[in-house]
Amino acid sequence: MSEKTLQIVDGVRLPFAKAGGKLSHLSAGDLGTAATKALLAKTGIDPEVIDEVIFGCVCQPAGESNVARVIALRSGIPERVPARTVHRNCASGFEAITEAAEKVAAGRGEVFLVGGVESMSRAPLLFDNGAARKFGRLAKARSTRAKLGALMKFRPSDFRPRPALLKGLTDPTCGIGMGETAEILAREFSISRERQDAFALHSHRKAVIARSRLNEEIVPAYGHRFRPMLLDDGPREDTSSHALGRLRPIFVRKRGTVTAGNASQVTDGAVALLVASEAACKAHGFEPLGRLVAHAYAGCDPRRMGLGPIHAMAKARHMGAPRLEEAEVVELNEAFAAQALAVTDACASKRFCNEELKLNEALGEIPDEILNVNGGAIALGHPVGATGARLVLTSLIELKRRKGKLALATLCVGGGQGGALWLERN
Amino acid sequence: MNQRILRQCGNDGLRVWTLARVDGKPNLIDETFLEELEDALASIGKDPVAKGLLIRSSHPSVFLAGADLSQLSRKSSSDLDGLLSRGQDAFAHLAKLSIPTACAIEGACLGGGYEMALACDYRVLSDSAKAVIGLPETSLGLLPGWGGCFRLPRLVGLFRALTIVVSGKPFRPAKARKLGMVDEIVPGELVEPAAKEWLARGKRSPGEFFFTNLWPVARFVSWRASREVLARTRGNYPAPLAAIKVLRKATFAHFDEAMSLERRAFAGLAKTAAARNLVSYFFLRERAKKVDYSFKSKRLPEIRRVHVIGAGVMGGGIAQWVASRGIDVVLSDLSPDALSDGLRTVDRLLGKARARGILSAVDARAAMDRITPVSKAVPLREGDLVIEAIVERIGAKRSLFADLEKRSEYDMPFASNTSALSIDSMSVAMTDRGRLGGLHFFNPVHRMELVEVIRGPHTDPAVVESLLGFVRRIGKRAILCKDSPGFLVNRILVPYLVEAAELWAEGWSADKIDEAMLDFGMPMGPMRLIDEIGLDVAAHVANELKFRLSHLGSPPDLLERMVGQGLLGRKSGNGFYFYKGKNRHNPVLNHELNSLRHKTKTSSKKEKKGKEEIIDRMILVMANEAARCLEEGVVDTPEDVDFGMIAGAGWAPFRGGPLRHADSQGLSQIVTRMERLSRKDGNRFRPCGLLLDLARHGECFYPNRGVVSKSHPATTERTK
Repeated sequence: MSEKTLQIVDGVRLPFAKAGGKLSHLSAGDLGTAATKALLAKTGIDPEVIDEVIFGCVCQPAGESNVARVIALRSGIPERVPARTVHRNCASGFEAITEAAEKVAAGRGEVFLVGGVESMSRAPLLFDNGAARKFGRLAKARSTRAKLGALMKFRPSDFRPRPALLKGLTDPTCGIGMGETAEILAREFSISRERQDAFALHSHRKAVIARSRLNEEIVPAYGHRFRPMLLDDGPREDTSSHALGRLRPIFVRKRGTVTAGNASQVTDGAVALLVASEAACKAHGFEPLGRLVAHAYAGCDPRRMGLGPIHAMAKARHMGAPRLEEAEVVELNEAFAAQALAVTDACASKRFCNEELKLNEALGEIPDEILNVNGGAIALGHPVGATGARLVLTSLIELKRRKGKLALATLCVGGGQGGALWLERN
Repeated sequence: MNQRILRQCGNDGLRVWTLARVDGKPNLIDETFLEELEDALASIGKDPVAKGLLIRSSHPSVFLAGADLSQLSRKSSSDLDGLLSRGQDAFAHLAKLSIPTACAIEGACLGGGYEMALACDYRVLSDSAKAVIGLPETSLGLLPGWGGCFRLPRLVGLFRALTIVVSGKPFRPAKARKLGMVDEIVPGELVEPAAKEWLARGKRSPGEFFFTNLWPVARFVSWRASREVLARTRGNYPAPLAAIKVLRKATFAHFDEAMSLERRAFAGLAKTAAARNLVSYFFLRERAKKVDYSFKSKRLPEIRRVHVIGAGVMGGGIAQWVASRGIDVVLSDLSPDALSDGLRTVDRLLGKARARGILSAVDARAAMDRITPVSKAVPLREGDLVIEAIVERIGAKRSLFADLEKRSEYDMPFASNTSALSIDSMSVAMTDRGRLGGLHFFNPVHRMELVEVIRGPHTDPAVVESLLGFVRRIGKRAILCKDSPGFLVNRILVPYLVEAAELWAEGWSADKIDEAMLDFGMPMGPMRLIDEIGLDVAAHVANELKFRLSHLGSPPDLLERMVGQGLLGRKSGNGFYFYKGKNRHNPVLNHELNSLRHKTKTSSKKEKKGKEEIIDRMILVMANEAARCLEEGVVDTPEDVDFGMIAGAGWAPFRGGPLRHADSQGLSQIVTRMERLSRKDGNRFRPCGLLLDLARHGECFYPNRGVVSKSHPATTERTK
């Protein structure tokens, strides 16, 4: 393997907390700082050796612009170390890692602190442009008369806030919501509501069983009034196919199949990873978890953004990544049960791979024993900016547990993209 | 000649005086300075083109630190009067100059320094963290004697002048501006330009009108102020009272009359023991800044991160203090719940510091950010220091340090915050026992200035040096103690508390004992203190100490019985006092205890007797233990003992500490009283060898009164 491969030294994450819940008092900066400080303490690394800090974050907080810099400074990383925030929607956490990989490959740095953060609780409420213009006019008004005039222009609807979260989850080019893209895939691949619910239930069951295993990657978070939070609060022990079956579709009310139960949860979370070049690992005596052997991002139809992973996998394969059946652990982000099932179905379908990807044969099957073995975003939650980094961390730790060699982490990206990262245990 | 006033002339008629010492040390007002000032004033008086005078300082953090106390404390009373009138005259001359004058103050401007600034027309202060301004004379048992009492009430009004002088506090820029002490607050770089703008306005127009400077109002506010001072100090501190009187009179007096009032009051105060002791405490504090232990050994790397192990009250307090001093902290404990409590402690303390204006919101958050809570073992790296603050169980500490040693490849220092256990016995399981020393912080950490640095018999000198340096860096003051039971402060404090409990068991009421000691000048009565510590903890520590030091008295059985009945002091809501319900913050005597006592020993007939006996027994038992500490070489000098007790236990500062107080009573006298008591009340009063020795030869602990020496010949011989 080339000397320029990125080694993933170690990582931690905070427990994922339902939005509006235990960690809702913390901003993205607070979350990222907590994870980064815990990682620095856990690894014992001297922050002086870090070359750059890169964090993924989707809903970038207005009060903490370039949140990566905020995190770096608040975590005690020296001022001279630059930091930046990267954004590729749900793949932002991936992006932070692959950025570091490309920098290492180009010889532009040796040790990076990367990760992803998201406080979906803190997603702002917005005024639309019309209202904003009226506020602007009011601010400019000098005389009382002009002020009064500006005030009179307001209508009650101007004061209705627009949740940024909802705006963010709507594709700006094709104008449909993420949930609707999942509905499109469900129809195209004929994925029934029952199959989706069963997938979701399975995700919860796996996550509940894996609690002690996930503990290995989690550090306690201290929320409001420093109340400790030790575990993800998304996985439900008490859910059943009956309970899931009673939920009503939320994106397409009539004859829809995607419900809150079989979609990923809206969550707060943060992941921090220490990554470095092989030379730096030797120099500092790091014992990495594994390394990034190949990666690719690929674009696709925004209306079928859920198929992004397949496109990315195919592209990675084309660029020399291992074959799908070589993977011993696969972490496929569960944005929606319908979407994840569509991906597994499409992978196994020779026809799909033939027609859409111009491949001679199917990419391959993803056996259930290696797919999201510790539960996925439906159970654990999907703090959008942080998820990518979690997939990498979780798959590397699972790989270590299984004494396996290769893992694939992949996810779909709003706007019609996919990302795929191949990881190898040293 | 050290003191210099550099004079520069600008073309525009502006004269600039720069206060600059040749040795680069902070500017002080001594005789040389006054000479220079008189000379400069004479020449500027004759300068026909001068249009304004700007006074600045070349020192980065001190504008003018006030009178040179070491010179002042050596003066005889007639010399003192001469020095006072000389300063008064010089400042009067400065005030009477026909050109406008201004001070551009970038650093500390205190005492006599601020009095000089008061003599100018304008004062412009920098907003930097180093800029503090105030008249701390009363906290040294003195009062402003260079015209401050005359000028301040005319500048800010009597009411605020009383606040400034009586509190003796150094004020930060925002508060100083609010009180009217300065004319403007500007960023450091703009201090001089701003002062020049003020100069352009010409002489200051005659004083404003202040409501409180009306005669009847003035009488009322000064009466109120005296009453408050009396309630707080029980008449032990004459200086604030004298200052109030002089300020009130000076508000209405002519200048010359006011000056002589000031001088007389100052001379009167300077003669008091309180002033002497407070000034010597000032020097003790300065001395404690410089405690050193330099051996020709390798130096350990500078401490960049501190592991505080144990997130209890002490651990949390230490973490907060260290983090707010800009050093990273890893706070570890076994469970996230314990850490959560620790973080809440830190947050509460930071909140208090914010509320009191000590930290800004940004600083407070930065301090919180510097603390990383961990519940699993994390690697140690070079530049780390470990401070252990876990339960006081020797087994737990031994295995902790053995484990820590295995985990750290570098020879970083370890320290225990134990208050009663032996450092040496903690290190038995370690391979390199030299790495362990002690850092004994006092509770509450953010309020107590003292840290006892403990040197065990095996402790490496490099570790001791590193710990002393660390204490200095976090702005605390150290005394270096030998690893002996209770170290210094607790060793002396515990017999005192045991004696209080003994007195109580004999039939004295708890509030009578407390009253007596408060009158003596202690910050809190001993019975209240036992309640605060917790009866169980106090009894445990007393027994522990008694076990290791047989000469001590053992705590009365009654204490154990109270513990058995669940009377644990404040934490259980009742001890010697009752703390429940509306008495939570205003405890009343717990009368239920009387039944407990009647059954046992004495009637309460003695209650009627005066408090002298109480004070005598309490103080003698402490003096004896203090002398014994010196005899055993727990610390090296009587200065260490006195500083430790004042800074670590709040021992009445105006009495100078247990040993200085013993000196002032006469050692032979003390020995006689002790011997009498020991015949009656037992061994604990038998005077120790050192006391007997000194008394027999008619010596004392401080042979050269008033001046703080580095070491003490009479004692160092014995301790070596």
